[in-house]
Amino acid sequence: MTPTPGRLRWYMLAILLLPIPVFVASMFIGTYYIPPGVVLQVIFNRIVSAFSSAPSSSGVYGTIIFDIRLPRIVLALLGGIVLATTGASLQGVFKNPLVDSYILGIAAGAGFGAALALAFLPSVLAMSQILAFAFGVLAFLLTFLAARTRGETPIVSLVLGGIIVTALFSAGISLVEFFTNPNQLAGIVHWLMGSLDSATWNVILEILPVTIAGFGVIFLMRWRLNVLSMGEEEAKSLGVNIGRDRLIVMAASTLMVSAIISVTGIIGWIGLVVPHIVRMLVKTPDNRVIIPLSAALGAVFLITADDLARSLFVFELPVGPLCTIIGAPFFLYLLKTRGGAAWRQ
Amino acid sequence: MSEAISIRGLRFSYGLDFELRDISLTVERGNVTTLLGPNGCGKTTLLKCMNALLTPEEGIVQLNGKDVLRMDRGELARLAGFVPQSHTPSFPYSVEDVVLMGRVSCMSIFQQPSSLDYAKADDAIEAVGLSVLKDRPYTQISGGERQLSLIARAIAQEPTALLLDEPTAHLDFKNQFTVLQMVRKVARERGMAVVMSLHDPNQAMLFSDTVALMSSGRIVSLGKPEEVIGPENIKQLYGMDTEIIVHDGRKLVMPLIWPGER
Repeated sequence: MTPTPGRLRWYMLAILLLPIPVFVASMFIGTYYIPPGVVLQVIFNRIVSAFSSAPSSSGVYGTIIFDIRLPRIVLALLGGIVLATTGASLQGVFKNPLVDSYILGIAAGAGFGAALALAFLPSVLAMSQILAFAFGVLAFLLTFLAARTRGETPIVSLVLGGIIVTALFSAGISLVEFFTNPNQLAGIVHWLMGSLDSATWNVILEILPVTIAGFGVIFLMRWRLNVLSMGEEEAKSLGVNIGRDRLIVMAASTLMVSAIISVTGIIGWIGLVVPHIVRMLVKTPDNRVIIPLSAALGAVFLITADDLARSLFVFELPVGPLCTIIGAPFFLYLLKTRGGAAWRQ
Repeated sequence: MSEAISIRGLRFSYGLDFELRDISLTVERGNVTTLLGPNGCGKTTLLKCMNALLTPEEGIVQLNGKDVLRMDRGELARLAGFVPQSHTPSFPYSVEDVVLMGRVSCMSIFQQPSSLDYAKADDAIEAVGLSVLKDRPYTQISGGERQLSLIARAIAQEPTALLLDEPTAHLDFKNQFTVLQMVRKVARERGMAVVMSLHDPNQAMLFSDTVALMSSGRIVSLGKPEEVIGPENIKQLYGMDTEIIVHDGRKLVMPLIWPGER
């Protein structure tokens, strides 16, 4: 691995391991109160029965902990990893700190797909998930084609393409909302806010392969992202096929983000704020450090936000707006105390 | 063996305004060729054609006998290192991280730099004398040091040819000479064929084996610096009166300008 100063490694290890205690602690939190002692006992029983042949009979508490809370925490873990990782990698590829995973039009596309399904095909099982994924990917393809001129896809064109595609699909969402009835409208609004309440083991198994593949690609390209962030001409003269490499990063990001938001709805802000926090903490732009740490901190961020969503009130809050409400002031604090240090030193 | 760099009958145009034409040039390993000429004469355009960042309409650029347009970017980067003009970078990578990027052309897409790549990067950093700065952010060093790290990055590519676009631009007086001395040393010690563009005839005179004078997209004169750089040629290029002064056997170009007079 990189010969990095000792302090950096200490930071890295601490942040990399942080998701574990947060994950475990989250199993004790929920809308339905279960005493911590009981949670421990249920978990212990389940572990014991996994190693023996005895059938597990943990009852209603077991169902709550293992079939409601656990898949939800796992979804938060995956979502946090995916959103933060894509934010970090796209910021590098676009050489722009204000980019997040939605720059390519994915959010609006997925939102339009989900709105279509919720308004016109509400009875078809998992249709909103399928259409959200399909339209998220379609939106990216449109952005990419819009930006492509004479075999090249300049960054400025991609950003503009993303703005155009986002505008079109947003208008589409408005029209769908206009033509639908109040009941279904409520469903669409709920989806667009972003929430983890649809987490089940089935859903997780469906999105897991795409998520792992996408993250694997970005993780393996972590060093190459450094070269891509030097800009088009420099990367080219260093020997990088920049068109191909950039497309691979964008495609991997699009696929995994679309998979996540097809389940959760639009959860913003993580892709923007988490990589910035990491850059400010470690004071290096090296993506071999930024990518894994963003993934870990993204997971911590979304799991914690969802814990709050589940436990702040007797009813559940949508986690999407909550992410912004936690993230924005924290980001502001870092910005004021540390300045834009991660970008201009 | 064929020349390290060979350009024949090159023509390139940006629409109607500007044209590069009839460019032919060969550079051997270990030699430094300087492109000298006023702003807009086509020096940068020529360097970009040599690195296939621009595609000429006619003619051919060969490195080690191979057409640059028939290579992929990786193969080209292993033959030609390109040092862009000193610029303010967007990310504060350390000097070592920047130089390490010179190794990317030898790696597959998912590969991470190995200890061998680190060794080659550190060797290149040492060659340009920046070892003490290797952990410093590349944004916090001087313009001259930044230019030297970009040269180190090109050295880490282990190319046959080194192309430099105005390596002295934005540098202070001393740093201009530090960088040029380094360029010449690298050419000699590593046997690289160097092509660079410069603005100062005196620097061209001091540091090149061959000078190509360029004016409106053409090479108007090509040869040894002391043969090519003279009052008539300078007058033709810049429309300016100069005199050649010989001091200690060295030729210097002195502009015939006296402040406050005439």
